[in-house]
Amino acid sequence: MPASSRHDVVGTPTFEAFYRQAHDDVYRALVLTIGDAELAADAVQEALSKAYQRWHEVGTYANPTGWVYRVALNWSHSWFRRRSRELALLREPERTLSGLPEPTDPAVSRAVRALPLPQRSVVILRLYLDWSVAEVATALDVSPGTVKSRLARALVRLREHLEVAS
Amino acid sequence: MKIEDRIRDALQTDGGNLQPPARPSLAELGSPPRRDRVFLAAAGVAAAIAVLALVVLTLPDVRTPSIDPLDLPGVETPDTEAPTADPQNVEVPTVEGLTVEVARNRLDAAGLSGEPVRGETDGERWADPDGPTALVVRQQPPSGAVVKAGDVVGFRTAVVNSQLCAALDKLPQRAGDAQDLANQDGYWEAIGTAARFAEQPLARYVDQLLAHRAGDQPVAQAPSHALDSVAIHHEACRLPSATIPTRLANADVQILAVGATQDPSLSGHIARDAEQLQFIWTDMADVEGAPPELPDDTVGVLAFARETKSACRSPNDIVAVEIVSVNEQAAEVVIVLDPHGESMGSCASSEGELAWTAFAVAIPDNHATRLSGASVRLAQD
Repeated sequence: MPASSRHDVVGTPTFEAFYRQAHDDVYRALVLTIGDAELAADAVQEALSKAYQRWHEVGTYANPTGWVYRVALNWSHSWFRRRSRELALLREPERTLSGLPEPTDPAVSRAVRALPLPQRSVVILRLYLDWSVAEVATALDVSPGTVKSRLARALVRLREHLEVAS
Repeated sequence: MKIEDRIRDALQTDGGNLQPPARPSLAELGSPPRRDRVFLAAAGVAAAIAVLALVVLTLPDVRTPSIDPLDLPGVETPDTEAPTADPQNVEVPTVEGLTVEVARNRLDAAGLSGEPVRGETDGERWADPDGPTALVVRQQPPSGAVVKAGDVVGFRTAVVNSQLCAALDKLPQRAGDAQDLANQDGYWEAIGTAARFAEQPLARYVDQLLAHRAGDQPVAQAPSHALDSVAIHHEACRLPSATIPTRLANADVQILAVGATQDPSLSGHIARDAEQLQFIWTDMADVEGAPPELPDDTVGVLAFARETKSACRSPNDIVAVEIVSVNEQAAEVVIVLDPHGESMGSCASSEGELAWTAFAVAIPDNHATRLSGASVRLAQD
């Protein structure tokens, strides 16, 4: 594996500007996706660190913010698997604290949280970040058709969930 | 209100109510995340004690070449004299020299579990590798100890390959602890070479050491966990029972083709001649592109990587090709991929989503006598 080349991009203005713009957006989107503020903060830092190391490449992408979101999501997901195993070893009950403020529409929050992760990601990126289908497709590295079908299936599930809740 | 609008409104409001943390400075980017991942319960939880013993450990014991956490003050160890007649007590099996995956299976069969060590030294978090191919170099409690069922066995682990081991073999003769080793002639040249073949996290630790050295800083102030990790990997290369993958030189591997398919049944095939390779390639469902040619004196190896996207991985994602012994009669080719490689859109099928990226590589036929299959793995991250 090649060594990182962070020194190549020290002080690169374009990364600094990207960093200022992307950090908060990705953090918020990730918190809404995974429901854990602390984990999201770590995941975003990890992903932005990787973007920093590979800025010569990532900076050329059509949607570098989307790349950071995807890397952060993958990192947080792998951490969750380790965490579940660690908790099983230590026989602690899973803590439910997530560091989040109360949702404004709890039924919507529960319904979104109940979606499978691939559908949930599409919902967050389309309806929260307001990205186009093409931008979401690039971010998640799927085809635009997949974005549309996942969103359609997600909305069906959300509608069912909210109708039951009401 | 349309469902989409209701969801959008709720998400926008909830998202707006979130207060992002302060952004780390650019200099801080690349430090490990803030949270300490050492999940240790309070003292008295027997299941955590074995892990605690190794988390406290920072350097190999000074006087011996072996790592013996039992010498550390204040470390509690499981009672090794518990009567074996108690059905709640089990004997710890030997797992040194096994991969983490096999070690965990063996421990599971004994009613135990295993975890690589992680911890914090000099204010920096570190962790031994935890992939399925990581080798267990040391275990605590040791083999034969009697512990409670359900206890955790701690591992010191390393990810090695033949090229890395050849580089580490040039380390000076071990004397004293990891820091003493670093003070000897030849150490820095050896790890400079090793850096080319190291996977994570050793690659990161070696980078730290080389940067430390480039700054003319004394060895005494070098990151101790990094020195320690080099010593652990050196030890892994010398384990008599370890199966160390043979990493082929780049010049010996030719990437023939990268394609996409929905049919994984042909993954793992070894094509002994050009006709066989062409037959296998054209037999794959949905693959695009002409069948690859097989150069003389090589065998073709096909291995597939599971994907969830419509585009294939790039040939540039191939980090290395290894040959791993399965047993005395059989070996497997393992194509090592960059876990953060980018996809290549040009090989996507027009039929829709594809499930597998197919890699076809050629390796010298003198490596192929025991080959029984092939697979892909992601490089340690």
